[in-house]
Amino acid sequence: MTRRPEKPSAEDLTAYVDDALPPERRVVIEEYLAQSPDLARQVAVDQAQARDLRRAFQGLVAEAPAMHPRDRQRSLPPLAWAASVAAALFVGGAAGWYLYPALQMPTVQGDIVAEAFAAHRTFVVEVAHPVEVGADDKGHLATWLTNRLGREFIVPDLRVAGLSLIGGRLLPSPEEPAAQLMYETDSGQRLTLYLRRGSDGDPQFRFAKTATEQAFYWSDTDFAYALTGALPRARLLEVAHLLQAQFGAISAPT
Amino acid sequence: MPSRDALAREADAMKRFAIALTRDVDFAVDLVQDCMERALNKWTLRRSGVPLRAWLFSMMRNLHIDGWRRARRSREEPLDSLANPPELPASQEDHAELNALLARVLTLPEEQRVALVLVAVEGFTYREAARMLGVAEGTIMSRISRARQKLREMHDRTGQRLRSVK
Repeated sequence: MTRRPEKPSAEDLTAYVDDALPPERRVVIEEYLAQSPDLARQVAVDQAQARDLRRAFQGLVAEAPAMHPRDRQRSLPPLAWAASVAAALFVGGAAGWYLYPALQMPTVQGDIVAEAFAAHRTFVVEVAHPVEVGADDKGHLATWLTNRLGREFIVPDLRVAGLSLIGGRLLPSPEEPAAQLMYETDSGQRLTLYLRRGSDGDPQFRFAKTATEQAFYWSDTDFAYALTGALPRARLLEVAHLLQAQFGAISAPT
Repeated sequence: MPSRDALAREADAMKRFAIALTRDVDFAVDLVQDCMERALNKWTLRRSGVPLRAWLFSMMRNLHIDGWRRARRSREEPLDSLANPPELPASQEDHAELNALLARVLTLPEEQRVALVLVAVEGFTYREAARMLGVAEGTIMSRISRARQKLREMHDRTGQRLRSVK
């Protein structure tokens, strides 16, 4: 290439990092960056920091317990309501768990959770190959898992919860094959759903947590499921409800 | 009452912004509380064209500016004197790196910090952020640009590489 694209201004670079440029302008910047390794490195650092900053701020609110202004606080005067919501918000981290002992499950219960955590740890950090079959091939993924798991399988759609599908993979488990589906939030936070045959027959959502992972897990008639991810617990539970409803719709036509 | 449900849905975002403003978890609690209270009282005065989050953030920033900051602390107080700096739990992936990044961001001058958080964390456009802060779009961009330059310098100085799992 003999033509050298014009040097982007500081404003261009800022807007590039914030993804605020019109596509045609973006292309011009990308052309320039392709020929300017130093500037490209600078932009990459800015982009990584922007992503990490989103994760950091989301992590700061992730530990707050669920709020239920609708059923409990409605009768309170505004000030008391605001105080209770604000207080609930900030009961985070270790203190949150001391205050909510009924929810605390310090040890991992059951193999499904240990298996799910191991699979989660292994694959969420994967950059090149997080899944075997990507979201583009959703139909194939469903057929493949239907065949290998020996059940009718749908790939749950969690867009309503702000989660987009990355894809899925088949995994070995002690008895029969297991499957892992991976989703991510807009900010790149990854969640995995792990499932395999071998139910304990309890459809209730149970929570398990180690120092590094947390999951809600449950069963239906034949399968056990574990949803692992670092979302706020209330949000993780909402996603678990969505999953149960979507799987329930195919397995138990009640 | 719909206002309460709507407010509760904004609670996480309010907390994030309160931390960005106050840099202190305890002060942030109080600020969110004050802001929710005021929002409930002024709910009917809200103009229809203004998105709820922008309205709440503007209100919170005003609360923070009048009285809050003056009463509690001086603006230039160094970060290490804060009693309750925000910190991610050890259960959060990459918590050490992310905490280091948070600490660096919280040392930025307030106007740069606020512009960066509004755009890069909360996803407001330059125009929305400019409207909320009452400045020109170009001002928002140059504040963000300067914030990033400082973060890069701090990043290079510590030699710490931030790993981003994406």
